[in-house]
Amino acid sequence: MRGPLAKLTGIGETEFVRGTAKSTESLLTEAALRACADAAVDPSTVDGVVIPSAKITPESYVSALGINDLRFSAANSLGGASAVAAVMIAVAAVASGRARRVIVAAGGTQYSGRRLSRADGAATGFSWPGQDFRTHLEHPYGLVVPMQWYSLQANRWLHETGADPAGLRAVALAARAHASRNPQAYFARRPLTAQEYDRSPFIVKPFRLYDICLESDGAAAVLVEPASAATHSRQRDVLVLDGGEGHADVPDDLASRPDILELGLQKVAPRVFGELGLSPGDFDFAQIYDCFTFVVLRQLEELGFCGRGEGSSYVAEVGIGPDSKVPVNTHGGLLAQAHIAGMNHVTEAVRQLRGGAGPAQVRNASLGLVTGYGDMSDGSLLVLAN
Amino acid sequence: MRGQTQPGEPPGPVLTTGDESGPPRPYPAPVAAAFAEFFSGLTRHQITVRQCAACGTLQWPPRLRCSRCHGDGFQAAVLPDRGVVHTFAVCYRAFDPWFASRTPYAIAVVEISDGIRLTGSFLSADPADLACGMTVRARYEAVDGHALLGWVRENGGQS
Repeated sequence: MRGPLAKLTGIGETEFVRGTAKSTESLLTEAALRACADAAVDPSTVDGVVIPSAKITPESYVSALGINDLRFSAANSLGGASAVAAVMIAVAAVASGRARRVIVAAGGTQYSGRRLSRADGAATGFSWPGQDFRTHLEHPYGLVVPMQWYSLQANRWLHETGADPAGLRAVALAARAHASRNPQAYFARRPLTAQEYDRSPFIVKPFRLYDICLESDGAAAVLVEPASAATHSRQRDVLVLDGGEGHADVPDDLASRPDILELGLQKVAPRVFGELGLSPGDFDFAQIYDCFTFVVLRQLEELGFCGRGEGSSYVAEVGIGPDSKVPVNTHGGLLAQAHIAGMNHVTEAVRQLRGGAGPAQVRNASLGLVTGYGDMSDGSLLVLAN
Repeated sequence: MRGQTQPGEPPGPVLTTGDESGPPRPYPAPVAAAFAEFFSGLTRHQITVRQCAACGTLQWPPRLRCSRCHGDGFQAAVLPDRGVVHTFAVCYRAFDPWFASRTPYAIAVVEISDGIRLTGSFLSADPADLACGMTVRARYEAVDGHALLGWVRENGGQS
């Protein structure tokens, strides 16, 4: 295996809450400052920023961090896949020498700002890929939010593969079981039973209430430095082995995607695993973007943990909960910890690889993967080691 | 405005009701140029997609260029208005105020020609009947002087 591309020297998180008076800019820069403090780095020496989903401007970071010489900035647009893809932009920047200290922060006011789940049509005010398709061909029929798009995939998946819908429930229960080991999780003290899940209402079939993630306020950040950089803090550095992004064919429209089940992850995962000579069973944990239980099953399939249509069997037989072979979302994920745009999956992966995940710690964790997923199945992947 | 039914067809459930109060049904305003023939076609009870003028490839939804030959000239192509349900959504909660009083409602993505799929409301009696592989035909809904696409189960929409 070749050497690491970069390392993650600091992580920072704000409080994860439902209800805040803080702005997205305030949350993101607070998380960035905490990541610098964690790395024992003077924030003014940060020289690069990557801004997932372009939520704020580079100038906000210059001001809040007191950056002297910002020589690299970038933004991307992959919905829930943005945070992990943005980390890989930062990795490319430091690996090529364009910058030496790059902050990547994600999150915002998903609860206190515009809430996707509102019945008042708030979701139609969001901008999505293929926006003309959304306004002309979907909104008139009441198709307006991601959970409805992904139900199009789920219903086809059930039909085409004969998959067991009980896999959705198993993912929901596993997320709560993990959250019970993470005092910071929203659902830390609220375990979920199969009976409660079965009694919860359908929102869009086959998704019930507990198949759908939280909406949260908060931000999380990482500091990315070259693999050769000196270690500043007492924290163990976490190495970035590889990663990348992938886009399905017809990435801006599900209805006309030839294989409606296709995920961007199908393109990036074989590439990255092939280059590293790794297979899914090699990992000690996987933090898999979980806006909905269904997309966890599909990503497990396309990462190669099992075949297409076998996600439900995998979670039933091998398991993804605490103490399983490869635990998934040890922090509780978007389903049970908080929706921090998937950057909380990255910070949790770093904690695991430092051995600092508290009650959620996976014993001897040395290799982990993180995925992002969004905007009609864009995918991103990060492979981390200690 | 009442939803329209076609001649000889038993009246079935429609999403557009006589209730004119409350929020309007979402409709693109203005209709973008690339979609104009599609929406005017719906008022004539036709499904009109686009065809590359250079290589003849059918295209839906409309894009700047043909995905096969990169040509940017298109002509209208009227396709049969029946097909097979490729996938669907059954919505028990609405995220738009017009639909809030109409749950549960269903959406069908219907393949009418190889690779050409059209999204519309599923208007047969029980949304829970909707299934992949079901044969359906179009039922056009009149909405405020425009038309939208609905789908009903073949054979009179019996379910």
